[in-house]
Amino acid sequence: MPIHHMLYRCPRCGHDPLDSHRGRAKCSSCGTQFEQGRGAVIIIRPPDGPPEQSTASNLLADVERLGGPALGAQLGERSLFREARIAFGRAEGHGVIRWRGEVLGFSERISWKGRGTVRLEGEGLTFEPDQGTGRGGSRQGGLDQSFSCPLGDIRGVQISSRALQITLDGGRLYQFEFLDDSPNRWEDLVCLALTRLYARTGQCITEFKPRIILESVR
Amino acid sequence: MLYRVLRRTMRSYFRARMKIYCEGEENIPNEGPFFLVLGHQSHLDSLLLHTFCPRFMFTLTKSSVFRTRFMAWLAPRVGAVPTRRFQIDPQAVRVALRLVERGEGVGIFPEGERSWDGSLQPLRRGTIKLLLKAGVPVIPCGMVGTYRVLPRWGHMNWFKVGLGREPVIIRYGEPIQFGRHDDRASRERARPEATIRIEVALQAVMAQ
Repeated sequence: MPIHHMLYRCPRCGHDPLDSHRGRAKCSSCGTQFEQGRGAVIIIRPPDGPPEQSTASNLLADVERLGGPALGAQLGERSLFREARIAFGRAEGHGVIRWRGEVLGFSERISWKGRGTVRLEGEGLTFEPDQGTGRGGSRQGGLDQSFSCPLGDIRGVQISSRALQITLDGGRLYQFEFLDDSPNRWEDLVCLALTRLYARTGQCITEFKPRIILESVR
Repeated sequence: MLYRVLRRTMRSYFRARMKIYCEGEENIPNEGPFFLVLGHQSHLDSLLLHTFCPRFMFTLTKSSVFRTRFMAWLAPRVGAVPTRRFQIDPQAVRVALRLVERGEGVGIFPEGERSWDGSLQPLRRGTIKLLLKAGVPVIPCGMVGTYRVLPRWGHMNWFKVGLGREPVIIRYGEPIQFGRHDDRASRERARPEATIRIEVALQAVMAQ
């Protein structure tokens, strides 16, 4: 996974997002570059001054200190807003994995529905397809062409490779593969939105994966 | 046959690129069931486990790995068992329990995903309940150095991986016995303590 998926905000100046260039992440605001060094070290190249070395944990702490996924995406104290270009998919059925005649398990089949924009706004997550990219939507009641769900319907959030997976009631799985944004940021962002949502009802989330587990805050 | 050929090939590949050291192999029983719990820091973890573990291992693997026809054919032959991580997967639990009943070793990554910074993440409670239900020895395993070779945020290139000849230590800890917890209430009661014990054991084997 590219380095700018982990460092979705500049750990130096807080600028959001970082640009990607030949395996490096570059901040268009302060000009600092971040690249992988030997032994999982991250080399920081400021525009003026010698290169420095840091670790992922230190830089992630800096990203968190500068606001994590929320800063700059906030409309108000309670509301988060962000949108990104994605390829949208939905699990439709599964393949059966067998070994020596016995069923070992299942692998979900992702059916890609086309590209568009996913938007987190208020207490909902929506997907709007680009014009003409939805496939088969009209034959299936328009479900393929757009998607919308209140955050309260989300039962699980996690990253799988470069995509964010959202599970709704009944184990329905939706997959958002980001074309120009970080799935890590979106996982953090959706988790933050869910945490805020449930905090308003006096609950806290103790586990996001594989399903959201709530506990009352007393 | 295929497993043996692949294992030999991968051994040569890894030995040419990294300095591999194995510690605590005596903790892996020659026969009988066990669960191996691993801290997950890199794509290399499961490959190294299958290549260097003294016993044939099954590992619970994310189901998306099996999406292509080739991988759906190959992965089960090298011990991968699909797990749908986006939900509680009863089939994966059934298969894991069936395998240990047969006396096999099953590897699990209780964090459920790779760490971004090499640190141990919270363990998933469903995994801990599975370990408690099975009641077989739980062996902690740490792959020290895989994060340095190929972190989650690193670029995967099979030709360049490990060219720096970084040392990697595959360390097996002493087995932990939890006893068998047949009913749900008993598992729920035992879970917090079991989680702490596994976390402590994983921290110990993952220490540099």
